[in-house]
Amino acid sequence: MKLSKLWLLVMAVVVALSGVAFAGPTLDNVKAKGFVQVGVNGELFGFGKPDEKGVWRGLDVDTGRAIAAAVFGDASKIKFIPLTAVQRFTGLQSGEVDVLCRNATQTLGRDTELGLDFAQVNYYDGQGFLVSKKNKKIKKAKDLNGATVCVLPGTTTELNVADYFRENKMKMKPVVIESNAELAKAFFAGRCDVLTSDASQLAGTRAVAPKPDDYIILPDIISKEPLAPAVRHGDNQWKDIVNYAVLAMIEAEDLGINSKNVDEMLKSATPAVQRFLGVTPGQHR
Amino acid sequence: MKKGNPVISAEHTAQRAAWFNDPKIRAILYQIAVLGIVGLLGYYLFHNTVENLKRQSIATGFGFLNKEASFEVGESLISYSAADPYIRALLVGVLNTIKVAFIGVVLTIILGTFLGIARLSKNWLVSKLAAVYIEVMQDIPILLQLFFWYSFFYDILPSPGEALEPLNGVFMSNRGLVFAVPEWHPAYATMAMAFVAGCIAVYFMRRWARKRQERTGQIFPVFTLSLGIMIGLPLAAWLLAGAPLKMSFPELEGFNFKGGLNMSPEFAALLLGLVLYTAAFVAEIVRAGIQAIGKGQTEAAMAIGLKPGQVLSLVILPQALRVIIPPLTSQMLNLTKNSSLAVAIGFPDFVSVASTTINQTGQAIEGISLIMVVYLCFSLLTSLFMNWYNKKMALVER
Repeated sequence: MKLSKLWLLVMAVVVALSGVAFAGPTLDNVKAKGFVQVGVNGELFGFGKPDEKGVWRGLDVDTGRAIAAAVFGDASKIKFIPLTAVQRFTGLQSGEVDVLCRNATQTLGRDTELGLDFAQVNYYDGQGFLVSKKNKKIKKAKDLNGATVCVLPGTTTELNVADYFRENKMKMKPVVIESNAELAKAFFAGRCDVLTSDASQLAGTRAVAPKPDDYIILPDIISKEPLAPAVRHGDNQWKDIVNYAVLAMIEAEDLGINSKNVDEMLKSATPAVQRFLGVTPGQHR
Repeated sequence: MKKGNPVISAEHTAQRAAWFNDPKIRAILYQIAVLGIVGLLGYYLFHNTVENLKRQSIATGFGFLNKEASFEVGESLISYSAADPYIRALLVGVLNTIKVAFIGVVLTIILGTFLGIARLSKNWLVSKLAAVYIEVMQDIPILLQLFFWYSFFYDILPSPGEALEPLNGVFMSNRGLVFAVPEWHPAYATMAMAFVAGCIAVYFMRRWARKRQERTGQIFPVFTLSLGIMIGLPLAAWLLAGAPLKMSFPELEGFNFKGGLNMSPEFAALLLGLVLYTAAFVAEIVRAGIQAIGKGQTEAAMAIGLKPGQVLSLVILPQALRVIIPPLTSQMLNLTKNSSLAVAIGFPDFVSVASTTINQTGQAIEGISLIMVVYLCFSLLTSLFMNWYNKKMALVER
């Protein structure tokens, strides 16, 4: 809100003032600091949100930890910085965070116009619609003509939903609220007929509804949303680190290695596992 | 220097030959130096920004304004669709901000004046009620008040299907207030013209009445007659056109009402929050203004036989306004700037639309500078107008 505007302004000033801060490779910078600064969501269940004990949980958070582990060999040398959808790319551009793991959709426009590079996709998402079961007329997305639509600002979501309604010659009335929590509250109170977002987010929002069973996600998925960590353009070394941190996690899952069984797996006879865990040295495949 | 002493004077000039010791030249030099430093600093910032953006290959410039916006805006005073360019989307935002600021300022001044006078009332209950209102409203942050009013609208009011209908043609639901409005008829244009003509007539009548009063001392019933002209002329035009009375009734169709005039909960909550909050400050300003006028003024005015209404309009208010206007201006500016909190409750004001634009295009610096320029223009225009009005009022001083 007001604070985040201020924050954007500060970012703009930082971009204006910093002369050489971004010239050096990110890795040197991170090593000098002693920790990785990761931009995360902060409000999204399943991707990035602290649990009741204040420990950060979620896919994006774990991706950040994997990067820290890759750089320092210690997943705890990390600082999470929650960013709103509006702040996130400016935060990365200005050097406030080293890497952005914040369920950001990879798009051509963001890659070229924002000066970003996207690493390996860590979640394939798609935009859907959450509606109340009370509204019996809605069975599919095409039934939404004339609906009031709750949507977060600063996301590809806002664009996709406008495109979808235009394409199908339907009318919509968006209600755009910046905070995820406030938006969900307005939707549950019936301010909107439908809440639209990435399907994974809708599931997370539905889970925190007063009565989750009163709501359903429509079967239609209107977009492809490859979510990927992002880094600043032009630092290939750093991008490689982020890339292979994600790939290593995917590979580990494929091989059935996890944090609980990793010591046991060291004794595994499977050649791929031996290579992956470095039991067989010098084999990076 | 004294006249008639040319010798000393000449000597004096000779002594000051060192030009850099001349205070006038020095002052100019200092100013050039300061200007140069500020200019260089500005250039450094600008150059650095452009360089940094280029190095990070971030797009720059205002070219994006003509690209297709491809997002929808909730409410708009002008026709707008996702196929329009960004510049039009931003214009929609500016107009929405003007709408809420203008209506807000008018209502705030009315409510604030009323509260300020109530605060000074001799009636204990009225005065204390006003005092409680002012204290409570001033002490709660505006953002909280906005959240409160917004959730009030969507939590308390029913869905459109079960909308309340307190009056025929007025529907209240969590989609907003919908009124029946008269359907457009050419007679309304004539009525508007009749109203303007009435205003002009009233203006000349007042001038004539004042001159006549100054000349003869006779008081002309200006107020009653003005009211008569301003209502009577449009009414006559309406009757002459055959008294058209077709209303556009809102009807429930699909998800929402069609027809009539719709006031969204976001707009209503924002307006209500801003007006109720700012009015508390205005009330205190009005009270201060009235109390700044000595009691003797009222007594003297009464003593020369003025009626209470005349005491207020001829003696107290012209003096009080001089105290009231400058702080009132800053409250008006506050209201306009606070309207940017709209983004928290989903009203598509300028900041909200600009945020979306920034995010779609990624051009934060251009977007933020647009926001700053627009608010600067709003503020400067308001100040300019209020300063002019203030000057006009200040002339009353004798």
